[in-house]
Amino acid sequence: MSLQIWTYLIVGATFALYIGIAWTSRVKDTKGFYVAGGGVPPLANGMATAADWMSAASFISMAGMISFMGYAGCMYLMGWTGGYVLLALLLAPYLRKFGKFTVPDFVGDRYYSSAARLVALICAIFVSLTYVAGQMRGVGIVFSRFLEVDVNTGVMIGMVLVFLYAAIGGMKGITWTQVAQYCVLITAFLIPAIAISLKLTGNPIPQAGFGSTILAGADSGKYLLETLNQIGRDLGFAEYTSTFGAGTKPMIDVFAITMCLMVGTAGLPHVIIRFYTVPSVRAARLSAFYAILFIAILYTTAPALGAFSRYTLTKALSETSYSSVPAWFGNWEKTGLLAWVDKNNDGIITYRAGAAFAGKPTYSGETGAHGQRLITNTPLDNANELYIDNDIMVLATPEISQLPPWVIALVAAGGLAAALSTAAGLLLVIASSISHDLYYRIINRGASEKIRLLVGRVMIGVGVIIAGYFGINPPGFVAQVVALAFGLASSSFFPIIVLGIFWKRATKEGAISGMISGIGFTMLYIVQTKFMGVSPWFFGISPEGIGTVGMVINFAVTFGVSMITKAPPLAVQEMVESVRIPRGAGAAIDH
Amino acid sequence: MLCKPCQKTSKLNRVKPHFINAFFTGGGDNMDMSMQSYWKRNKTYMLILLAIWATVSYGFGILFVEQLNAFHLGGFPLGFWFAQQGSIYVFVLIILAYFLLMDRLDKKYDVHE
Repeated sequence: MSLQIWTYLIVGATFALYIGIAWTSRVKDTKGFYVAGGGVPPLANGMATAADWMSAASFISMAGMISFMGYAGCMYLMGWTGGYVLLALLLAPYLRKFGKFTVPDFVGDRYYSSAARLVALICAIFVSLTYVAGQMRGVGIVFSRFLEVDVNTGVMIGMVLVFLYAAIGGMKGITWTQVAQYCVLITAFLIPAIAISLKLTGNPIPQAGFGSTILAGADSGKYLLETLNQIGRDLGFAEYTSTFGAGTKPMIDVFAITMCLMVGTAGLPHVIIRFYTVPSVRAARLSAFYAILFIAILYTTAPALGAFSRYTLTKALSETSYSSVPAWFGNWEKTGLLAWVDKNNDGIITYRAGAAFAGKPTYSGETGAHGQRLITNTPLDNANELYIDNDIMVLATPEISQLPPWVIALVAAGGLAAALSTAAGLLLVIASSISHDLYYRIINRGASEKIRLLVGRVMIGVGVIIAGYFGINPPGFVAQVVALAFGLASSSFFPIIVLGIFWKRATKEGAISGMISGIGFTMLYIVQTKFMGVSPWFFGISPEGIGTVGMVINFAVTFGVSMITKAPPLAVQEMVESVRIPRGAGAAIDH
Repeated sequence: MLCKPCQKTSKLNRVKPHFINAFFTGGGDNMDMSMQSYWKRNKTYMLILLAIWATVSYGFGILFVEQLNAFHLGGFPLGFWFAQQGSIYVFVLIILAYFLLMDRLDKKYDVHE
């Protein structure tokens, strides 16, 4: 069977499965819609959290980014896993004991104020919208390459699908779909990684193959990482395992970005909300363990895959004449993720450090002397002739390594599972924030169950349309957009939730001014450095890491303002004490 | 190894089912005595585990990565291994340890569900 048929078959089967699951777990009340009735078993919640968490960025972009960054890729690896330690130790058990529906719920009740609830609500929507935009773009990329439909059509299909299963099944449907999506995405990620590891190093475990010797070819017997260092030296890149030097990020920046991603992970509403769905505090702790375990499987494989594909791709393309490159080169040229500009007119691909030309390739529609697609970008003044997009590494590696078509089709289904599961989780946060926190808790306290459920479903529709708009008009490449959501999450929620649990004296005035100043500073810095061309002025920390500083500001302002304002009422202090004790979590859910 | 000191609190481990009622009468920081020591022990576990968390990631993976890279683990420079592999394995173990420790603590103080 051809790749095309395999892809339609596997992707179609997984889509049918998701819809089927949503239909069998459709919900009739708001508790089912917002928190899946609070009865999800820890193992299932761990899988759902892992799928919810691992987005298009983790699945499609991360291994590719690491393969180009080398050592510094550790900031994504540690940042996107280490946050679960914070979540498991500092947040999840207490928020579960508190037992309401959303993050603004906790903020509003703990800080006894509708204003705090509203600020938290705006932060939650903002963070989730930023993040969901990246997912839709991921859906578009997978569709355009593997199903050969237009990116926009791909985004539309994704939108309809997510809307269907999120609106029918609510949190309950999303949870069980995410369990299925985790299984699809982890299989799709592991099979190619194992196959490549076996082929390249003879070791079936990618995590071990990563540190092994190369099996065959000119480099046989040499350690993979040392060979990559050698390739780096030969072609003028930084060495793969080299740390902080020319051509790589400085230590302070790696530190700040890692922390920002960790704290942001712990502060992301769609992750936190998953811990409301389990039956007890013990189950919340246990499902945090399952979640990190399931996430770690992908996150320890990704750097290995990054190194394997960097080696394979360089070997396949560097100093190869264009007329003899494999067929996949042409396929990926079509998607704009790969391009070649023959600067010295020798027909041979010269791959060196530095960008071949500025920006993304735009094709003139004509073909050059060697059959390559010509681009209109002005070539930059360096020797490098090759443009490789980060996103290509995971998606193209199975083809480059000549794996069978069903594996490639599975990778397409895995990429879609990763993007759709995260998008659904985010849409639910947006819908519950508006229908529960804004409409029910602030605007219409007397709304009936039926009306609230309807508002929730309508809001999922609105969220889907906004997300789809961003998917069709993408604001940047997947991981970069997602990284910004972390800055905003770490500088808004994390400090005030932690202080809310561990410091009874934290007041509403403190929390509101803390959130506003934290997110305000972070936004200002990101807008200045990303969009206004100001150079990173705070110790050279890049916009992706500035959330760390925003978080410190939030902590400091919340602390300072709380000290000079009136202590919280006794009822609130009592509530803080009750969330510290596990017993009674089951009964705590009501509205 | 973490639980040796907690033996001295074991006499206090009975707690009223509705300890919150003891809010106004309870000792110290508005909390029942045994709840205070439960909370203190929880915080001790947390701080120790967070110290390990910071050491493997920020310490071994970032701040001292160059020094550790002088050593090798198979084909891995050691600091690089901590940054891209080791720290993640430790995170998994930390969360498992916290679950197990707290499970025992909850039972000891009779606050489990």
